[in-house]
Amino acid sequence: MKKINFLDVITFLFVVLFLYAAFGKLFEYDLFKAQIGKSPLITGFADTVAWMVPAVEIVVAIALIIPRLQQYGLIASFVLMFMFTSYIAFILTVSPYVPCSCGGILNDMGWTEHLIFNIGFTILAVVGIIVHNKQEKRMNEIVSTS
Amino acid sequence: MKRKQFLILGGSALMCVAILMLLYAFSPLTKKMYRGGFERKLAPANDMIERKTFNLGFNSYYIAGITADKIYLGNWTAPLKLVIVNRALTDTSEVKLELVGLDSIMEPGSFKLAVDSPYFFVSHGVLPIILRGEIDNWRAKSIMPDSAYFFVEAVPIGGSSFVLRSFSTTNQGYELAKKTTSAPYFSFNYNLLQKQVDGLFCLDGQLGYSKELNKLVYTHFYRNEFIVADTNLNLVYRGHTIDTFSHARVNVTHIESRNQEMLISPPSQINKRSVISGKYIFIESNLLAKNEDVKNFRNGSVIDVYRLADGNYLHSFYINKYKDIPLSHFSVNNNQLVALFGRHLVVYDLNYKYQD
Repeated sequence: MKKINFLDVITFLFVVLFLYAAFGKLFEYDLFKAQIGKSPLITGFADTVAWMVPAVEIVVAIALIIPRLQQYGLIASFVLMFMFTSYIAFILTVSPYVPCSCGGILNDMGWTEHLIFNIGFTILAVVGIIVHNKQEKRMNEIVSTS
Repeated sequence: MKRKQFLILGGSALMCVAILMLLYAFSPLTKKMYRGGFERKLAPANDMIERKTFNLGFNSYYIAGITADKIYLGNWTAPLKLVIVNRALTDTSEVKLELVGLDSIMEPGSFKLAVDSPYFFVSHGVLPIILRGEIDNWRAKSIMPDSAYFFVEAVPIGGSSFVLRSFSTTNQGYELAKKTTSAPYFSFNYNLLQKQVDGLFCLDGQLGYSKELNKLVYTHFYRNEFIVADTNLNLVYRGHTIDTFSHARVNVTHIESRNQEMLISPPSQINKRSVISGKYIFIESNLLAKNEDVKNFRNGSVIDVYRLADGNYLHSFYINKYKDIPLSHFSVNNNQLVALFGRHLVVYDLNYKYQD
């Protein structure tokens, strides 16, 4: 049986996170669109953002699963998490009020908790890229010495 | 980490920040504050002088009643707790209310205490229940015969009647109703609230009662109208606040998946809070006037005062933030203004006598 390594765990966490978030939004699409429409930063582009976010989340999840695309999936995960995190930090700093636009268990967290959760996953993405590099290097060494 | 990867990560991170800054630049947050098409008559700043302050320890209090010598404070998170402070803010006492027949506290935030000598009332719109007791006895019993009269707001008038804001299934929107201890126990008056958009948000507002004039007042949150009616809910007149928004500023959408109505535009409340004192109504406004200094507006709350006898605008004044905390609640009584800022209770002397 193949040993479960650290990279698999990281990939698995991201796939679960993105698919859970994406389908949560799609399942109550009208609610999600209405909620982000209230955000002062998004209010002009709510229609576009509403379908784009879950679509990107699903695409990145797929990239993480396909071995050849895993590297790009991890980079994309970082970019996605960094974007979400910066958005929260921005809203908490400049907005006079805080709209809600998340889903599932993420909804029950306060905004500060959500920020910490996101920072954690952003760092995890960087860790994933580093571990992926190490693994790839090791695989190349094995191949070149055989 | 490979150099190429590092550059991609760094570059995309910078791009994320750039995109957010662009969104911010084009967002309503960077636009200059909207100025309404009206002017305010501002009372001189020294018309209101801070006299005394008191730290209540918690920020969950509201003013449930006020007399010449006492301030009664209810508590949103502890509905059985009543704090009584004397007007000089030198003496406080705490009372635990007894609500006969209520075994458990369901939805504590829905309880509302009103103290109106010689009675005190506790209402809860979801149970629903209205209890009444006597001051100094602090034991309340249910006074309304059980029936399905759910309400969002309830204001006591006299000792045994209430005016409620409830949802009418007939008209699919809020309506005002009268609840009495004798027949007919509950009756809507459909002539007061007039639906403009959805019947819920467009009609949202605050009920109040003027004992001196024996009149009901309903102040809309999203449009410039306040309704004055007698205690039988007959319309006396429709007053207008000084701003120009006669049509409710709300964008509402229906959420099919949860069978809910939801506001989809950023908050656009015009009138925030209204307080009645004697023959005057004090409305905290959310709109900047043409002739107003933005700094003063941002530094506190602007209160517009109207005479209830004819609905005429008198003047406006500011209640500035206290220790950088915004106003949460206020009341005007006996030439003083009593205000709550978070945990702080502050009393001001008023120069202008709101007598008649």
